[in-house]
Amino acid sequence: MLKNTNTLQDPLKIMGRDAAAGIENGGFAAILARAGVGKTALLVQLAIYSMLNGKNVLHISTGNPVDKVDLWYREVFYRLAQTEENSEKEKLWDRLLHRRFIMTFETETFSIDKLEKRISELMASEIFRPAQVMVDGLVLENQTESRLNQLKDYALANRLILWFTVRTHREEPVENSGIPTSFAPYKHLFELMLLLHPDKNRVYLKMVPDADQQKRQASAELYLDPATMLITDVPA
Amino acid sequence: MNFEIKNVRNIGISAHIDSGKTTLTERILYLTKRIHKIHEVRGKDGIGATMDSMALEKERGITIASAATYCTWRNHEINIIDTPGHVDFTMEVERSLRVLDGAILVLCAVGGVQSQSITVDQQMKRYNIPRIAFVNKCDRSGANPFKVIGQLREKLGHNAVALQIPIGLESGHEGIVDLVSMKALYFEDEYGQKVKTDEIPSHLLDQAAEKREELLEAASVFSDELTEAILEEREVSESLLRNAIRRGALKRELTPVLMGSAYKNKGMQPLLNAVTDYLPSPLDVESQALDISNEEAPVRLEADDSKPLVALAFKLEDTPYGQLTYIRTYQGALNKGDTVYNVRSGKKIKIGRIVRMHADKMEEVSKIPAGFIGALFGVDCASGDTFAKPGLSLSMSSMYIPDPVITLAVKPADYKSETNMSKALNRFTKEDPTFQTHFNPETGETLISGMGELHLDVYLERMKREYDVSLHAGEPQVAYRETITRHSDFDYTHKKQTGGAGQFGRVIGYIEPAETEFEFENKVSGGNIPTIFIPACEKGFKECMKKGPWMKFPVTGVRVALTDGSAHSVDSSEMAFQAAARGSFQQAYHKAGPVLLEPVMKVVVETPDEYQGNVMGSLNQRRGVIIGVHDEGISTVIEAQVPLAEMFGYSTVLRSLTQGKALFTMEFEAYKEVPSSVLKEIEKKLQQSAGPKTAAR
Repeated sequence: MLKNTNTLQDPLKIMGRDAAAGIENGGFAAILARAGVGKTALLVQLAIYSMLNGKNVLHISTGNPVDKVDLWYREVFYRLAQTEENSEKEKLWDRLLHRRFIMTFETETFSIDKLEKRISELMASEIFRPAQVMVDGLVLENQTESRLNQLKDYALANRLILWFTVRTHREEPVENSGIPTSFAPYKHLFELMLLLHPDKNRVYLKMVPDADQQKRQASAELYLDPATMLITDVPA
Repeated sequence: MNFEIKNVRNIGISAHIDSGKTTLTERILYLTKRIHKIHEVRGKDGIGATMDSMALEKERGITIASAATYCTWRNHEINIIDTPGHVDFTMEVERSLRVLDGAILVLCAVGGVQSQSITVDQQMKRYNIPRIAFVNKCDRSGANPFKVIGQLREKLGHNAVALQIPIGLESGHEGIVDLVSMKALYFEDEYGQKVKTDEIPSHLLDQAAEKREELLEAASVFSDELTEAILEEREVSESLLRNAIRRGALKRELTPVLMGSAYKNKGMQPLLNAVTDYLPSPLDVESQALDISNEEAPVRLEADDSKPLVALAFKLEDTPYGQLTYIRTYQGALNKGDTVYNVRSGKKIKIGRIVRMHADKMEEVSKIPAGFIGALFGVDCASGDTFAKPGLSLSMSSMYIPDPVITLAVKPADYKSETNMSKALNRFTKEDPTFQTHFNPETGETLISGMGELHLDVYLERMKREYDVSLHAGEPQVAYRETITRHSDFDYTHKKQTGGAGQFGRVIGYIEPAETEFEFENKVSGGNIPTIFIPACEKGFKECMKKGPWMKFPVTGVRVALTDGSAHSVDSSEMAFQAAARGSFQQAYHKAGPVLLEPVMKVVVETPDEYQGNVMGSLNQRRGVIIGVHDEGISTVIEAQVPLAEMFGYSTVLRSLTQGKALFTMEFEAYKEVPSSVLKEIEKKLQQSAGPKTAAR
């Protein structure tokens, strides 16, 4: 496996925190950014790191065909692994495919009920057992807090960690931590929040820590390379 | 044939199976007075639709060969190439796309954009073909044309915009509102021949106004004049709007969407009008040829009769009167009596009879002008050949031909069948480059290879029906391949001294994995192997590639480098070096980590929701990797990668799992390494099949 080489190291470890290890089952994490900044690219990268660490990842997307999601994974994977030898890359990719399952929905018919039902069916038929679910495109504002709490219980019961992408808006007021006020009511449901901030010609990545923040070391900042949308610790 | 080139439309009608493409074509031919009676695809009269000309197609209700036919509408000539909808016949589809200038994408108002529509649309995108969409079956229950337009945007990425709205849907589907002229259109008489124009019904006025706004907004991007007219709130004339839509459509930046029901004869005339209004003439399309004498540099062709001829033979058909070759001229005209040059074979041909085809009826003409489609009799050529004026070495760009993935042994039952079979195979291989045959002298069997089970099935059936061949067909075999995974050195001396002239050759070098099929590199310096023997070495290596030293399958992806060697002034010969090369390959190959590769297919299953667990299970059992599942509300689309070897007979399994409600398509994805557990089984099988034959000898 190539997972120990530098290029494929979990970027969040560099920030002094192993994202996956830091969140327990039933945990929620979110990537917050405006449209077009790179939420999906980041989500896919994190999914690939988890897959490299032996975790099964279920990717949920609304409004995109399966092919398109698959293409995201391919592109991000081949960029991450570009320094590896071709034959090795192919083999690793084939192995990773077994750890990934994509489910796409029509935007208008997607709901949390449906999501839970599908995950349960998948596990019951023993076709795929995810450890991590990446949800790209669920509009949290349309959900009630109690429904999200139920989802958290469901995740806990089924030993799942859920990641969400959250689209924020340009004009929106933000709290001191950088969290937009519209997201504030949901904040307590999330164990980890990653903010993507475009600033002039760089996009930087900020982690909003949970209540344990004192225990952790001060988080360093990471950037997204605007050309590849990959995480880097060197500002572009 | 007194049409100006700007009034010619070479179009295709492309769609998902059962979205009503053949019915639609039938209606168009009726309205353009090419046929005088309508036969339904699976009609009770037993005649079948006119475009499905092969007996087999009529029986199965599918369209296999792409017949070309022409008709006239509003002083325009429309050539229609009927394209098959099965992915197994992709070569046919792609070849017909090559000669199209534009296409109608037929979509079902209930089913919407299904997985196969996506495949077909991608192919059209590859050939830069402008499209208009027709949402068919608006009379069916559950019809929703606007949902389909949304899918066109979302799934296929089209900038789709409605030119019409329906007057009533499902059983209440009466007609359409044309948003360009802002009139209601009704279709009267038995086959809707008469179009009645009326005011828009009052309950649709708001919707029509809203959708027209959307149309104006989308079209204004392509015309400043239109933008000005809208900003100044002037009246927008029909022709102004049409021109803007045409510009957008030709650039492939706007997809006009029409709707109706072919079966109920609604919306056919406006569709024909749209073909002439918004699809390109040969003049609007840039075609290119490759200059063979100048390293295949692209050359622009002009659809002008006075220029030297360049034409493409895109389809062959065997008729009772001999071979019929469908041809499209790209530059210059083709006249009866002309002598032309087949660029591939280098042969000169004299043009005899020229005909225009209407499905299986024909009409004799004296010339095919530039940009037109016609057919020739008595010309010996293969599908995909280019004809040009003698002296011109231009070829229409060669098309990518995929390697066949499945092989079947066939044995004729008697002598008569044997001769007929060779006739049939000869013709099929000319017609379809993805269908190949070869004779295995070791087993005395004839092997046929193709792109899938259905592909070969159709040819077996055709041999039976059209050529009266009775034959035994073996089990389908997967086309395995071998390759190497490591660098490996060789140093081999071939030496024989058995009286008379001896043989001597020594080769030193290495083999290693390569991206291409086969590479040969000569690094020998100082004449240690005389230059005249180098080609013999290469030939020896190439021979080994045909049959791998390990499991006797063809080898692919090997680079051979020759670094040194030695020769003997008397005993060295070409033969000796060929033998040395073969020996060295054997020596190095086993150390190079050989692996077996198998074709893996991309399988897409569309199934009603309730069966998705069963279907996924069945794919899992077949060593499939499920890429993803798309939930479409009532149905689910499952995408997976499955080794071809596991897919035999899958259609039967799928039918019984889903009560026949699921559909699947399969196409070649890649060659991948066979897992070691499966490898043992293959080895065992090979030994078994080899066993009895050796015993018999």
